[in-house]
Amino acid sequence: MGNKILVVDDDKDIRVLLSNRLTTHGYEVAFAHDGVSCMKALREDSPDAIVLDLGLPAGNGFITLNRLRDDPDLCGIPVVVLTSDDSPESKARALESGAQAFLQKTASSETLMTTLSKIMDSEVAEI
Amino acid sequence: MAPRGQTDRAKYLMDDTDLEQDAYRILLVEDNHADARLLEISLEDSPEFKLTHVSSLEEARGQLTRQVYDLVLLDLHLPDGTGQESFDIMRRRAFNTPIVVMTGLDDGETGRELVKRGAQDFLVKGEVDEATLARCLRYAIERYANELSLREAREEAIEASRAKSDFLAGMSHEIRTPMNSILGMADLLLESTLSQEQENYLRVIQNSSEALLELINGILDLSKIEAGKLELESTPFDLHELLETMMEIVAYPAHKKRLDLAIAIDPEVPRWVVGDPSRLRQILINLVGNAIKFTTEGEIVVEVNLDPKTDHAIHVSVRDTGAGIQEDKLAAIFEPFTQADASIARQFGGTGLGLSISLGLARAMDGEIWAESRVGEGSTFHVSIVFEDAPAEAALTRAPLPSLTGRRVLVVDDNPTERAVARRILCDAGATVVDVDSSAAGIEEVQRSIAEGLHFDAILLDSRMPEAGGFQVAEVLREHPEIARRAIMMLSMARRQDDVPQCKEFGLGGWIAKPMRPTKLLAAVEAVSNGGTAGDALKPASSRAPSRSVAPMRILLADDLEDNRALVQAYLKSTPHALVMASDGVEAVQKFKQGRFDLVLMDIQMPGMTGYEATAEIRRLEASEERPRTPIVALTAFAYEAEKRRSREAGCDAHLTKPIKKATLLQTLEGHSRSERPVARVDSELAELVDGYLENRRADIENLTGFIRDREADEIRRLGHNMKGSGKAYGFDLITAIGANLEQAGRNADFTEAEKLLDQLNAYLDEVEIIID
Repeated sequence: MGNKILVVDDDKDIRVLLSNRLTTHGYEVAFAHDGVSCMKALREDSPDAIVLDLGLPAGNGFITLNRLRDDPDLCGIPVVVLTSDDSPESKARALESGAQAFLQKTASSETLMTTLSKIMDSEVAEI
Repeated sequence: MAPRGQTDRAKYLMDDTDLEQDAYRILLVEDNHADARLLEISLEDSPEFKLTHVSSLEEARGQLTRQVYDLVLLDLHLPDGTGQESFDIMRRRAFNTPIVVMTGLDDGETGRELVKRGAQDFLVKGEVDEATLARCLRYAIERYANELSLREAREEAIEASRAKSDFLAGMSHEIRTPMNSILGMADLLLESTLSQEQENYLRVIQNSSEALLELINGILDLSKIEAGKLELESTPFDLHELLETMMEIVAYPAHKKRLDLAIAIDPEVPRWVVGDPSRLRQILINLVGNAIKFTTEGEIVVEVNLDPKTDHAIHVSVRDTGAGIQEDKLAAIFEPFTQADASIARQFGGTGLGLSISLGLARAMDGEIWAESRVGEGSTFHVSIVFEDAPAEAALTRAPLPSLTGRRVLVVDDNPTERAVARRILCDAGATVVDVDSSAAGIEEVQRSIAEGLHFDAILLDSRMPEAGGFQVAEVLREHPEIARRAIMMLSMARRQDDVPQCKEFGLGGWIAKPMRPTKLLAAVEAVSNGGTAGDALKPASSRAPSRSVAPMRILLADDLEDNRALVQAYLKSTPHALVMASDGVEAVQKFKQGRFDLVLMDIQMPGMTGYEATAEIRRLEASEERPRTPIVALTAFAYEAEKRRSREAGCDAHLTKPIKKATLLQTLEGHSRSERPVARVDSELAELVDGYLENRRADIENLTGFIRDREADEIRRLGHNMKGSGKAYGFDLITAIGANLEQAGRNADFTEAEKLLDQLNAYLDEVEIIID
């Protein structure tokens, strides 16, 4: 596959976990630990998809989503929100802000992989 | 004393219409007719004898089946047998009939020999006059009758003594069974809503029942002592520790009466001795308890010295400032049911058995108890008991440790230091240790133990050794699940995530982390050698509090008495446990076969198949179906050591003596609950990451401690939030829960709560058992 995924999470343990899961499934992985480094990584690493946490320092997940949506260069990159926030309001707000999928951190590796390949396929289809 | 068989003989004589009813019937076995005739003539003047003459052993046999004789007079030179041979044949044929043998002049030696073999007497032919012959025969008959009645009396006495023991054991059961119901129901009633009056009445029932039970136990103890059936332990123990804990036990009643209580142990008194610690404690508590009971003001001083009069004896004196005892009553107080003053029982309570039991116990331990007293000044009770010195290794550790006396432990570890440490800790606890430095040697030891039937009670395996690690041994043990269950893997933290699931896979008793702490090591060894798992023992004491919710268990109860079943059912009503009941051993085995149980409560005395048999059957079933070993708790009415041992031998893991109290039962269940340790199930994909993840949580603890100290609420909130998220992602539900609460505590700037959560996290990290799915 060789698709590159940007993982944005301030928690190192989550980064380690996702790195492990994604590389196992053949993805290349880049990291960011807050809103600011996320924007920087987006330009440097040009990922194929983003796995985004909502509770981030220096610009939370919603702000980051809005920035992505408003940037013509970046708005095409599919985003999976992966959060421990399970409120319907957050889900609605994230999807409104341009996230393609909204997953809980409890989600299994399988769910995450299926979701990722689905949103990247649909991206291809749209182009 | 009348000769045996007189009535039988009378009957025969009537049949023969012989009127000489009082005559002794003599069967003369003699082939030489001249000799026979001579004897007949010799006895002509003695009408008390009626002689019947036969010429061979064969003819004698015929006579003996037709007639009961009082004596056989046997010649040793017969056509069908001579010497000792003929005597032996006659002995078998004339069972219960005395025999007098006749020898020639030259073989008097044979005669003496035959008397040793059971002949009543011997005569040398031609050497005996008429009077001597008659006297010899009469004595032989009478002596034999006496011997016989003595033998019968002895047999009767043995039988009576056995009957007494059986009676006591039986009574113990018969009394304890209803006591079980009375105490149990009182226990339950006290938990229900009661008026003050009802509660008072109930307390009286409870107290009286307990007093009655104490009395029964006392009588049993005393009867065991009197019957010489007291079983004393011989184990190394810490005498100082025993004395100090004994003082703690009696401190409460003493202090309640505002009495001063002091103990002085001479430094010369050895710390480690070999003896029966529980019986010694019983004596001392009795003596000090009496002192407290009979003293209204002042002090009680316990002094412990070496006894100058006897080697290896320790002398304990208990001095009080009580009323004192009159000199003429001093001796009597050691008699059962005697107190110095008849009114004392009413005033102070007590069974009046305590001192007699203590005296009996002390004497059984080669010791003595005596008292001196002055009315108005107080009394001093002395006890002197002989102890063996404990083996030298025992003296190395001073902390009170679980006793592993009699346990055999195998240690397999390549590191000589670790091996030596394990050996010392285990030896100190009384275990016998075999240590080897490689898996190969370990396997050899295990196989030898199987071949010799000398099983190890616990096997400690180092997981990492050059060439072959402990799992190599575990591989061999796989074929012997009963032994595998006794194995404990010593793990290094770094490899935990691989090794822990392996331990389970191999069916091992558990694992402990290195470096080993003595208490944990001993607890683990004790647990597996008692049939538990090492994990049970590794829980910190603080989290053993009864408030902790116990995981629901499926329990099989086998008891033939409906009252007992109802009682256990009532006890468990408020618990999450599910109870399945069987009313006899066969049904218990049947139900066990069909279902899956976490624990079995097995009454021992059941009609038909006993609890022992049912337990053995269940163990066989488990072995043949390769089921994991289910803890079986024996319920018995017997307080005897032998019964406990027998239930262990039958395959029980624990033993409860009836009457069972609710608290004891619940405690036992908790002790055997498998899920006492928190368990986290982790996705196999994450196996590699788990240790790192848990390490990071340890780092969180450090950070959190700092945040709480510096009152950084927002940092606490953030840390909690992350913990909540990562806990979910890694599958640690409890970390998620703690994280969510921390997040909340941070938001509320509630540092007390945060501190509590910190402790909770800390405990969780210490205890959690990782299962990789």
